[in-house]
Amino acid sequence: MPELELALRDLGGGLDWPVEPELEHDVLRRIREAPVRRRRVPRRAIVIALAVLAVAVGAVFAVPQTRAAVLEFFHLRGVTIQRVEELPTVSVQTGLGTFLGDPVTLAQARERADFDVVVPEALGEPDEVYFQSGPPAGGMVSFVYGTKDDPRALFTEFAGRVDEIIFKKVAPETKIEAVTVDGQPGYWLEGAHFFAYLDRQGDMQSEQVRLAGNVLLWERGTRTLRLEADISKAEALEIAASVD
Amino acid sequence: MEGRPLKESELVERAKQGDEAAYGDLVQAYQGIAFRTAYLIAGSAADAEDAAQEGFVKAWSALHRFRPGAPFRPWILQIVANEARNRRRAAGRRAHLTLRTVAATPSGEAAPSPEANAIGAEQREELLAAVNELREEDRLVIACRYFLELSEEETAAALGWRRGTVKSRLSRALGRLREDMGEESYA
Repeated sequence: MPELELALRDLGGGLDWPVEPELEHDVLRRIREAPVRRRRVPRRAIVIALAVLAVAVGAVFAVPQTRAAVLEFFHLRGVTIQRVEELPTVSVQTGLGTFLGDPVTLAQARERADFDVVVPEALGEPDEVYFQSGPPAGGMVSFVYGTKDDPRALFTEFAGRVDEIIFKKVAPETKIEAVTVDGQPGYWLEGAHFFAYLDRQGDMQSEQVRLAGNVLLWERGTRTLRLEADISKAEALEIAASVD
Repeated sequence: MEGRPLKESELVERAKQGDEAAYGDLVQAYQGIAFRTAYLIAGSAADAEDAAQEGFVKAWSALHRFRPGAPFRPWILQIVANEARNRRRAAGRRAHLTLRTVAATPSGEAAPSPEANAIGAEQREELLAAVNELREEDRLVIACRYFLELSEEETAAALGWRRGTVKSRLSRALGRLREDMGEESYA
């Protein structure tokens, strides 16, 4: 082994690591407290699912979990919906956390996004606007109605590309219905599902997901739009139709 | 464990059947490496502990997906490292690695073992400082391979990279480190 590598190995032996915690007790206590191995997906009044992104399609298959038991696929530009036998266990988070990106004004979002930012007339001006510079390439703009900690609705838009994919997993009982918005394809999802995505390293990030209620996903030109709120399909389609 | 130590595959098999004690043994066996891996990634001991605990709890729920006969270590490291990454993202910190102080060693002589003598104390400090200064992915791959002595497969699992990527990034990182340390030190 070359000298540098030997020196590094030697260095490793002299590092001052923090004291190793004793995990067994707490881990066993927690698994006993959760007698059902698969955590149930709670229905909540308003739940927000959103995803950041995926790199190449090929990278998806490098992640072993995603290979398991995919029952069906549905595709939209930049988004793939998978029906799977079982949803992975995820930690439930309330509110939207930090991953919508930076809080910005609507004008700033328009400036920074690579696409024309649209506002659903039926919802009006959002209470909060966030911009994430990507992935996805071109950025992602999110409108929050209500507040980030207590959102009533979330509207997201990005320039979906076919080589960047958000993976959305849905449980067998989730209703997936193909819809058309202004002549373009979309899907209406009702029931348990969540988003997972691959980050830039091709690394599956299934933790940063939100358990979601009802979602409408649709294409508009080269953009993919997404609306999530505790509303009916008819209401969602009405809001979608009001996007100018 | 009393009596004949169970093989890892037997422990996993028992844990899959719901044997909590067997799973406890697996936690014991891998908590150290899981914690240190999480520490490298998350950048703080508290987050690392949290990530390791959460990872072991999630792994229990996911045991039915574990491929029989596969090594447990890369699998658990992958789960824990994912948890660690999620915790790091918010804070944007990195673990600052330091050397243990060897109080009993008089300066410049009588090092405790021949291995420890491989390089002098000053050089070690310099080398560690250079590692700490590397860009994140270089630092991580070096720390996984040499400090934690993870295999290539385990490094790939922990960092969420392909094995080929681990190889190429490691060689690039070593190259950068050689440059930083000055060509003559580790030619």
